[in-house]
Amino acid sequence: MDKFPIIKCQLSQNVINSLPALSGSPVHYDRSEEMFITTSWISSYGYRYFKGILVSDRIVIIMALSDGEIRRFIDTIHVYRFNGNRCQLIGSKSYPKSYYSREFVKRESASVLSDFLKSQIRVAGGYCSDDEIERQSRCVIDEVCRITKAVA
Amino acid sequence: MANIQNTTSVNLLDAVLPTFGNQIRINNPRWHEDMKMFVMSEYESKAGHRYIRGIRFSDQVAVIIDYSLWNSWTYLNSIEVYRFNGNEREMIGRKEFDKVFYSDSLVHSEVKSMLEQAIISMARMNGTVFTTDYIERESLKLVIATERSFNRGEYPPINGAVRKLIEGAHNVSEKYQYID
Repeated sequence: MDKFPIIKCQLSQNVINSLPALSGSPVHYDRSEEMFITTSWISSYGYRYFKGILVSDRIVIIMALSDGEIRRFIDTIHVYRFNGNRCQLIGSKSYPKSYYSREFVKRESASVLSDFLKSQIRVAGGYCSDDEIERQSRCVIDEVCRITKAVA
Repeated sequence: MANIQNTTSVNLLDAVLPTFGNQIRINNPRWHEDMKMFVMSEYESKAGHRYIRGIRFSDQVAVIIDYSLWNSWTYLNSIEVYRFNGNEREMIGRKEFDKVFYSDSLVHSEVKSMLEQAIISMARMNGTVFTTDYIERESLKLVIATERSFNRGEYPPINGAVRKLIEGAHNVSEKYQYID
């Protein structure tokens, strides 16, 4: 039985409506990569550039990826939250010449999210331990990977 | 022990990371740790490009940076440098960039150069003469003072004046919505 029927319905619509605009090109789901992927383009050096997208009901993670001769590189990670039906950037990270791995993406996205949550708590004048924020961030990121699969 | 649920009266995750379709309940200034700036405004064009206007500041200087996300690239569009006059800011330098990739070192050197020029011109108007070394040293101090982290507690608390400074700029969409 589908555990996320409402989320799936909402997000499927969101993927159709929002993500092509966010990425600037159409997206399709890649089963082997377990993420949405945009149309790629190939540079004169033969490198393939594209974006990978993970989506949940709370956040969207967009990665700029490039396939070299042997390894896949990750150039940037952008994390967005939702405000109504629109996306709003909450943080990003750039990586010169870093290898892509799903674990790397999860770790770095959790770090971006935890920086954002820390700043929001600080702005609100509240306090929360770093461990608790990092734990919550990791939960949200794990959820993204799980829901992306469910949505597809 | 404190946790995210009881940090504020409402669940923070629901408030700042609302689920799809729901509005943000607590619309506080957003701090970008990687870019070291508060987001003043953000605009997504019909073509899917995103334009962001951010601010970083010290006690003496505010720097407003316009940058944009185009496909995989981040472009620097403009830098504005302000001094303070009471709680208001007054522009002392501005530079626009055309098809220039964003980099922290570029922003650092451009802000430093604008501050040097501002100090030289203000000193001339007052009939004061500073050595080049002194101007470079002071400009560098001013730039470094703006490159601080809110998350590490290097910014003052967000009170009314600071919030007004962060939110009080014209919206970035007014400038960029006709570009593409």
